[in-house]
Amino acid sequence: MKTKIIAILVVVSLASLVYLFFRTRSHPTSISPSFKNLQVGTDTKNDVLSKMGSPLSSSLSSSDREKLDYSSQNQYWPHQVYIQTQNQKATLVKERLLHTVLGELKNYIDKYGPPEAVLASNDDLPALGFRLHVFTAAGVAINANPDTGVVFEIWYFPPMTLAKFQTQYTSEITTWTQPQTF
Amino acid sequence: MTIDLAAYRFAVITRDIIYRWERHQENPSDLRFSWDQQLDSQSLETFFNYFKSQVTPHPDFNFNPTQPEFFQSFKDFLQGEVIDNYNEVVANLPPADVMAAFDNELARRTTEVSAAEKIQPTLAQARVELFKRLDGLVSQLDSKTTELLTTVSIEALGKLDPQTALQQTAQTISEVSKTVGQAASTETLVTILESAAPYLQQTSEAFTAVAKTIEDRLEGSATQPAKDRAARLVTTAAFLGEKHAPTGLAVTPQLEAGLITATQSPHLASQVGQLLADNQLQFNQLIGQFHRASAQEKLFDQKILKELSLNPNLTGEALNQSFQIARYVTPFVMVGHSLAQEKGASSAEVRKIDEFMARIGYFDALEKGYNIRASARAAAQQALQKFDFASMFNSMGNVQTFYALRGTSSARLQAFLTDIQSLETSQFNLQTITARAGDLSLSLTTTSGGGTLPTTLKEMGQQVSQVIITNPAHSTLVWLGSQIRGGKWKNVLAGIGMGSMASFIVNPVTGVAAGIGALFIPTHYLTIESTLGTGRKVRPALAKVGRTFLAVAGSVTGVSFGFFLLIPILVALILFIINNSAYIVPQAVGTISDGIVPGDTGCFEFNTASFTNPSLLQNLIRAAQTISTYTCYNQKLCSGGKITVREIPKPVGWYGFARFSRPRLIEVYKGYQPNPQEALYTLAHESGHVFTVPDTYSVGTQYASLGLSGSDRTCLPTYQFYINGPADCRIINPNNPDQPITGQFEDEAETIADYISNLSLLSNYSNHLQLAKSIFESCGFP
Repeated sequence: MKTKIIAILVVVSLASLVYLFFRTRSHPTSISPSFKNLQVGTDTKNDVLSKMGSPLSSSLSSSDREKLDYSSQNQYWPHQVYIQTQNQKATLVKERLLHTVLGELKNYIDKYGPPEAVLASNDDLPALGFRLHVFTAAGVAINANPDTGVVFEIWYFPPMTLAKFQTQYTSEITTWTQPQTF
Repeated sequence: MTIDLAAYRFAVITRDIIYRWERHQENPSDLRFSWDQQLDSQSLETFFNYFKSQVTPHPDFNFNPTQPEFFQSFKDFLQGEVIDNYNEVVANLPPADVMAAFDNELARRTTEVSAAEKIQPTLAQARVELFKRLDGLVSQLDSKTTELLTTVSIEALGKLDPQTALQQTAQTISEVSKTVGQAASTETLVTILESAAPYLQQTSEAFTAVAKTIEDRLEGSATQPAKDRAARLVTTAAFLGEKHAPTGLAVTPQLEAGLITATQSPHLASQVGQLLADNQLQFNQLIGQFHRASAQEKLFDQKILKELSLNPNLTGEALNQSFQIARYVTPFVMVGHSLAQEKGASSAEVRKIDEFMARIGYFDALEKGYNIRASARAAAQQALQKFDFASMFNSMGNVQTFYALRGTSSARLQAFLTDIQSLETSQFNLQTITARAGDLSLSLTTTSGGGTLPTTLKEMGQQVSQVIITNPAHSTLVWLGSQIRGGKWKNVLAGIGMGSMASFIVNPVTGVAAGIGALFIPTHYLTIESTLGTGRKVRPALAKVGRTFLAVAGSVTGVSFGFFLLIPILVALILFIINNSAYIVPQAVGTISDGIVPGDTGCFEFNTASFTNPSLLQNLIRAAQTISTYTCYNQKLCSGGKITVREIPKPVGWYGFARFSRPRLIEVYKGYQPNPQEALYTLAHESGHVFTVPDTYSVGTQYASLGLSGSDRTCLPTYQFYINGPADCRIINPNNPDQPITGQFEDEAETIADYISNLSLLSNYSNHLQLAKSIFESCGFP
């Protein structure tokens, strides 16, 4: 009886260890990202309008991309949906969170693994300490402060390679080296 | 209607005055925001009249400083009709070739100074050689000769120029050694030195008198070499002034050369006795003047003190403050007063000029960080009005010499002479420059209908423009002349007004006053790295100009009429640029202290051993004490541990006065000489970087959420290194100089700095103010 109990405990312990091992190691490399039920890379502009309604405003963000602004928690930072003008499909979504929660970035790293690259968005956010943590396989980039883990926004895009990400969104990203402060 | 830069600048100045009134209404006991109903209302009325007469649309209400509604209406007018309607203009810089020519001219002077500086390293060697020679020579010289040589070396040359005295003596001894074997030659030498002895004694007395005056006036932190140099400079300038004095006396070229270029002249030691003997009359006059001036100065102090003592409202500190401000503004008043008298102004006009110059003096005191109560200022002004300057001038017979002493007593001369580096690093100066330029321009504008003041200033301008126009060989002068002829004389004149004392160098009658007046120009006026919005191209060039001038000024070998002559032109040039390209931030008021006050410096830890300037350390410690009084900010700032503050040499390629390095290190640059208020600003700014890196309290998110980022952004104007101004908010990208990047991390730090050191300005930037309040008024996490 005693041996059986020990054997059961050993089995349960091993099973627990195996579960924990795979739980931490595995990450959803093929998760299709979603914001407001949008399927980025699949949904068309009509789908976007259908799911999210009329935008606050729309404008051309580049020669081949239209930007739709949707209201967020902050008047200065609307959510943004980018439509590829050629095929009218949603190609990038920026969800503006403007969180102030310390350590939140870790949740995403726990979920998606280490970021494939740490870049910078091509706006004012790098100057405020934010860096774009890119998880290309998951189709997610987290713009967050690496020191504090505070998350400002999430980018959603179709899963792709890093090289393609950098090419496709070249107008949205930049390289940033913190300059001297004086 | 296009709002021009002058209207915009005056609007900002005026708005700041109204802010001060508002803060005063909120808390009359807050000395930072004092308000004198009579004097300050007068200032406000001057500005109001300017807008009423010169700016379209005009205010549609009347001047009534007793009604709060007036202040609100005026502020609304300034903001709505002027400031908000102003569109920043492209800087109206001098052409590149003009700048290049000016730069080249000064490069030549730099070379001269560098050559002189190269002598310095050889002094130690010269000193060693001297002692070696003395060892070898003493036995050959009779005791009388040795004693005289010692006297020459220590008592005379030592006072003229301590650093080169031994070198000079070595040269003398070298000459002596050639003839020492011949009794007749030795006897001749002794005779010469003996004849020189009385004059050397008189020289010594003259220097002692001047040095004592300087010592009395210079702040305690002045170094002895600075005092010595100041004394020597005054005496030299006095000699030069005498050369051009109406009495017809002449200084021989040898004496002038000997006095000016003592470090290089081989003649001084051996020939000074004869030279002085040749000029005995004027030398005695000079010494007499110094003595009389010194006595008059004491008399002045006694009279003013007596006058103030009669005021029943003044006791204790108020009396002391009144006395100090009266003494401080006197040089300003005297200049205007004497000039007006020379022009035959009526007594009413002279009085008006006195008041005007006193106001400039008061601005100057404020700039230096003096916190003088309005009541003390009014009392000082009242006492000065009762003082009979004319009788003092008459009894002294040489107002210039008196002014020379007073002018030299300016603490600024200390900085002027002792620290070239301070030129580059004094960031608050721009506001004062522009404020004063604006004030002068305003006076010119608003009083152009008549009176002596604009006439006097205009004549100053005419004199300088005469110099400018009659020197066609120099393209800088030609260009400035063209600006005057082209109708932009007011801009140039504003600069000339600032350098007006120096401009009178062209007038031989006021030679000494002009020379010292040139020195009296605050170093701040040469602080051109502060010139905002002028772009990188010009800034280094102008900075070099400033450095060069200070280098020249700091070197006795460089003192010449050409140097004096160029100063007003330089100031005019700089102020022209500023008038056309920069913008103003309101002036802040600080306090003065005689020492380090014990107190809590929060988490700032000062590496005292690294500091070479006790005054800098003292002011930073006081700044830390002030910052630590902001309880919530201090609590959050210090949650990350201590912040080390140390002094380092300024790294090549860095701007400003200090820098922040991860994780929690603030490095202040050697040579930075801030007043207490400036030190507070700087330390507060750098603490802002510490606070936001790492951004534990999410300042970045709050900053963005307030709309301070994005295309509509505008950064705080107090930060000076945005390459295209605060509205553009970008700084140089070290990785790609052609592509500037946003500098909003500086704006975050600046928000913190301005909350602590310039709240009145910050109050006008509601979103920045809101950000600051979340930082300073909330002790917890956002």
